[in-house]
Formats: sequence, C-alpha cells, structure tokens
Amino acid sequence: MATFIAIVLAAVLTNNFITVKTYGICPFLGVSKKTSSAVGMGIAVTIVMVIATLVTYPVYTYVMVPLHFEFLEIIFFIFIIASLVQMLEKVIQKLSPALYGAMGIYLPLITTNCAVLGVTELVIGDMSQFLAGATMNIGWAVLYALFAGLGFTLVMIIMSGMREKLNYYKTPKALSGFPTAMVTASFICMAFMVFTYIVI
Amino acid sequence: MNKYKRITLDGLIFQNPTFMLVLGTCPTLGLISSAFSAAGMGLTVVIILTLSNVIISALKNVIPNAVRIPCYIVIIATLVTFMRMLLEKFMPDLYDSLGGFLALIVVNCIILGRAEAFANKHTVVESAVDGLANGFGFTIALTLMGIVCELIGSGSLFGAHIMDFTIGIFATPAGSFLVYGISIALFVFVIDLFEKAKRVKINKLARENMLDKEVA
Amino acid sequence: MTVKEFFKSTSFKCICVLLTILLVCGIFLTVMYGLLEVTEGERLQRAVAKVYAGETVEIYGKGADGEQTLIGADEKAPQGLISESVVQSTSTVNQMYKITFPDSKRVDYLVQVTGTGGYSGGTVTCWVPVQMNEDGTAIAGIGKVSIASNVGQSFIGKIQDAMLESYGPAYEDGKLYTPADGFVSAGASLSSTAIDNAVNGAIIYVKSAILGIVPGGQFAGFDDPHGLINTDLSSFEAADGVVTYKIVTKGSADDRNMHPGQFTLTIIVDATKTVDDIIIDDNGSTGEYGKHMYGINNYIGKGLEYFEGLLGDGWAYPSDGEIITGATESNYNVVYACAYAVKNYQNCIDRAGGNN
Repeated sequence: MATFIAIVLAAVLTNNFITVKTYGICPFLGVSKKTSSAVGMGIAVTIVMVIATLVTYPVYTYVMVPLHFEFLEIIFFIFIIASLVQMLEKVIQKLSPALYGAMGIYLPLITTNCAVLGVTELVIGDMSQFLAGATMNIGWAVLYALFAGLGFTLVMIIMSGMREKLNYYKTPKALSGFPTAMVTASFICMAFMVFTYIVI
Repeated sequence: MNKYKRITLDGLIFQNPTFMLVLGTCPTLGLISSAFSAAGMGLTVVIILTLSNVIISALKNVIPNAVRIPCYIVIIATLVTFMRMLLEKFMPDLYDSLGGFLALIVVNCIILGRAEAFANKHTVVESAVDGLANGFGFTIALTLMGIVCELIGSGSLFGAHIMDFTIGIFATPAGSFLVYGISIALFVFVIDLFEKAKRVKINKLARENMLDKEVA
Repeated sequence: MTVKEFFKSTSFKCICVLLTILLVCGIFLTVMYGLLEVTEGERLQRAVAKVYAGETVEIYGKGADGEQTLIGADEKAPQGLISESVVQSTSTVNQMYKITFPDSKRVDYLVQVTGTGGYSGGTVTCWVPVQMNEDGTAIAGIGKVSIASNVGQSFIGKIQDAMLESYGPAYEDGKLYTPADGFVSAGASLSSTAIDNAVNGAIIYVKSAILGIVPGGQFAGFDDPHGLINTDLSSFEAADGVVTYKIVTKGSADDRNMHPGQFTLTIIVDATKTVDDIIIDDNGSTGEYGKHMYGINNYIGKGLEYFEGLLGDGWAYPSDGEIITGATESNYNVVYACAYAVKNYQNCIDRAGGNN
C-alpha cells in the first residue's frame, strides 16, 4: 500500500512528466489550445504509455537483459511504440468509430511524443526512490506509466483552461502564441513545485 | 553558392528550429539549466542530424514511400545508440549530465522533421549543409539560454562559480519555460524589426507547411 | 495475388528494405558495441583516476583464490574485496578496493557506498577514499569524495567541489558528518544529507571490516525496546560520573512507519541520573513541524520516571498526553532518546569503567 501511494504521488505530483521532467512538451504546447482536445490527447497518451510499458518492460527484463542486448533498447522500444500506435489506430477505427473520431487524429502524433519513450526508458532504470522498499516488477511499472499519463493529462487540462481564458486578452505580437504559452507553463511549474515538499 | 548560403541562413536564423519552429522542446527545457549540458546536447544533435540527413538523402530512392517513417526511425535510433556508446566511452561526464534525454533524441522532432521536410527531397551535400545549419541553430539557441539560466539559477557558467547571487527558480523547469518563452519573443521581435519585408512571410508559410505536415 | 506477384509487388519491396535496414543497423550496432563497450574494469579505473587525480596508485581486489591481488589496468571484470553489498542503517556499501601508493607506505580503502535520505527519497552513490594511518591501526582521514551516480537528485549539480573536499580536513574519530555541521551545499541540502550518510557509512564499514570495531558495539545490550536509536551512528563518553551521549535516532521506530527525519542530539546525564543538558544538533523535523515541538528545556533536570510518564507503557508511542503538540513524531524521537540516555546511564558507567 505504501508503495502504491508513493508511486501515485510521485507520478502525478512530485515527479510530474511535464512540470518536473519536461517530457512530452510538444503535444503540451501544440494541442492545449482547447480543453476538449487536451483531454483527448491526454487520454490517448496515457493509453499508449500503459500499453507500451506493458510490452517493453517484460521484453527488456526477460529477453534483452538475459541475452545481453541492452544496447539495442532504443531501436526496440521505438519500434514497438511505433507499431503499437499503428495497431491501436486500426483497432480503434474498427471497434469504435466514435472514439476514433474523437481520438484518432492524436494517435499518429504520439509516436514522436517523448513521454511515451521516456516512461519506457524510466521504468527499466533505477526506480528505487518511488518504491518505498518494494522490488520493481511489471505491476509497479504499469502503475507508474498509468499515473504518469494521468499526471500528464492533468497538467494538459490545467494548461488548456488557462489558454482558453488567455484568448480574451490581447498580447503584443511578439509574445502571442508560443511565448505566452511558455510563460503560462512556467507558472504552472512553479505551482507544482510546492508538491516537492511531499515526503513519501 | 547562393543556394547553400540560403540553406545555412534558414537553419541558423530564419527557420531556426528552436526559436522559429519551436521543435525539440523537451531536451531544450530539460537541459538549459546547465550551459554544459545544453551545449553538449546541441553538439550531439548536430552530429546525429547531419549523419541522418546524409544517410536518408542517400537512400531516398531506395526507401519505398509507404515504409519511410519506420525506416527513418530505425536509422535515427541506430545513430542515437551509436552516439550514446561513443559518449559513454569517451565523454562520461557529458554522458552522465545528459541523462535520459540522450535516448530521447530519437523522438526529437527536429531530426525526423528535417528528414521528412528536407533530406528526402534534396541531394546529399545540400542535406548535409541543412543538417549542420539546423544543428548549429539548435546548439546556439540552447547554449545561449543555458548561459542565462545557469548564470541566474546557479551563479555559475559552464560549471565555474561566478557569483553568489542566485534565483533558484531559474535552475528548475519553471525558469526554463520562462527563459525559453521570453527568448522566443525577443527573437521574433528582433527578426520582425530588421526583416519586416518578405523574408518573414516566406518563413511563416514554411512554418505553416511544417505544422500541416506534422498533423497530417 | 499469386506468390509470384507478391514477390514483385511494392509490399514485398517495402518489407525487404525495412528488414535490410534493421539488419544492417543491428549488425553495425553489435560490432560497435563490441568495440566500445565500457567494462566494469574501465569504470573502476575512471573512478580511481577521478579520486586520485595525478597520483600513481595500485588497486587491489580479491583474486580467484580469495587473496588480495593487483588489478591490472586492462582487467575487464575486476573483483572487489566485498562479495555482497552490506546494508547499513543509512547507507549500503557496494564495493571496496585497497589502494596503495608505490612511492609511499600509505594505504587507502576506496569504498563505493550509496547514501540514503536524498531528495524525494532518492540516493547518492559515492566513491569514498578512507585513508589509514601508517601502521594501519586507525583511520587517518578521508580523501576527496567523488559522486558516482544518483537516483532522482535534481539538484545534484549544486553540490560543490568544496563540500566534497571538506570531509578530509574535518575528520575526527567517532565524529559524524551532518548537514548541520556544515557538510552541506546550498540548494541541495537533501542530496548533501545522502552524501554525508554515504561518507559516514564508508567510515563505519572500514572500521568494522578492516579494524574490527563492531558498529554499535558500544551500545550492545542497552535497553532500546522499540529500536529507535541508531546505534551505528551514536556514541557516548563517560567521565567522572557524567555521561555525554551523542544520540542519532532513526526517525521512525522499527515497528512504526512514520517519517520525521533522524534527530542528532547531545544529551548529558549526570550522577543523579537526570538530564543535565540537551542540545538538538540536527533537527529531523520535516517542513514546519519543528516549530510545534515541545520545548526541550522541559527535559532538563528530569529523570526516568518523568520520561516514562510521557512515553507511556513500554515506551510505546503515546496517544495522548503532554507531548501531543502537532509535532508528535518529532517529540517522540527526542523524549525516547532522553529516556534511553537516562535508563542506560549505569550501563555506560560500567562499560567505561571496564574499558579503562
């Protein structure tokens, strides 16, 4: 239970992918103009992160490490993620056209989203600080991926809410667009810094 | 000659990947709290980008259109893994300071973006020049912001202690976002000021094209 | 589509090209990996070069026969002196090597140790060179500590060389390094704590493994019903009927799972078996809780009865009473340490008498 809480808090708040690790910034800046699209992107990323971890973690731990193929991890991981995204797109298109309409356009962008590759690389590294003494296994890895994705979604939603409001104000030409978004993001990061005081 | 000058200027200034196209933001924000890591990341990207541009441009007639993206990703991933091995062997300090972002170069949109937008349509030499120009555009941008962030956030420059006055927030992602945002605004402002004429329009078109392609 | 058509189709070409590129890349990387692999031996040589910059040293590890053997510069998988890592209270000793110097008799033990208690529950792994005196009977000092790796320490870059070099000149036998004593880099105090723990851990390990001084041996058999006292790090001195304790608490007793940090306290108990003076050297309270602590001056002049009254039956964690102040965990650490100090007064006097 302690490990569960530690992982959830770390993934969502203290080590949030966007505000602390700065992973997945491209969709964070690109798809956060409207809350609806931010939610869609966030959920799509979360799903891909969970499935990617579910596949890469066992492949790495039980196949690549025993065979001493660790150095091929990047190629394998990116290949698995790219194929997964393609497959997921096809499956969703077949099973639920409605969901595909809502989420389909975000899926191709996810291959080059570093949050997905980032989480698969993180969980095969040293995770001891989040585990509160437990041993790393696939369950914790997937849990971490799930809540890291939800943390990503949370910040996406906050950001999109702020940007929707910002539309009502006139900004100087040089500051409009990305600069304003980044300064907004900076304030969100500052707000999230308070969570670093959570001692697990 | 004019052609190469144009490619170089585009990569360095008018289509600077960091400031104008806002690509490769993750490593930028993650590493500009230290000038050393920022410059190291920049130079690593220069090498990978140039090599990937050259290889992809050389293979552009061999790779079928349908599987071009997987092929590019495999080539880039190979180059990144190779760079990672080289750095771990010969520059362990840089290897440590780049941390997880080294592997994430694979998904750096600049590299795949240049492969898709430039290298698969141009000759090997042009692609090499384009890779170098964009890579150095990225490096210069990162290093400049790294200097600002490190000086204010940690009171040092490339690790050498300079002053005791620091504002801690500049050593965190919050400060990186702030510096990056303001840098873009300044850059755009200066470009606007000096190059009001057609350059900017061309650039804007290119930028829209780029975004369209990414979404498509 | 017939088989023949398939071999002429674009799909076939696509598969061929993709597989060829994968194969070529895989072979290229495998060859390069063979050429560029960084072996354990190379990592060790790098670490040694960083610690002993510019000095010529010889590294000894354990050979196949269990004897100490010289490790060559191009050895791929050197064996250290430790076969399994040793877990201590605030650190884990991963490996140890003996370092000798061709032009002098000096002997160092280079210990790779992971200190806990860093930022966000992370750790810092350091190489700590422990220098022995000339006849190898005591630790003479600490060389420059070098950071090997860390887990989750975002501000590790703020650790200054000055701090890593400061351990050596400040070395005193039995003294512990703590951030409160100045072994800290501004802006990275938690990472500094982890490094301090690593250095303390290295010293404790070398003492027990090389010099045969059992950690916590001084306290063997003392009353500590909840195991809250960190006997590895604590010490006492007894003279003229007055016992001066340096007590480090674990923050959380073995049977509880609360997390204030560890407290370092100096407690003086006089011949009347009451607390003569108490100083908090390092306050382990997290965040703002320290403000709500029960005033420590209340403990001066009090004996075992008073402290047991505060703690309740069997020194258990009290559910009500005077020390429930909003910083109960911190109070519990301090009161428990006082009770421990008073209760074991006679043990200290006996043991000190025996030693003399």
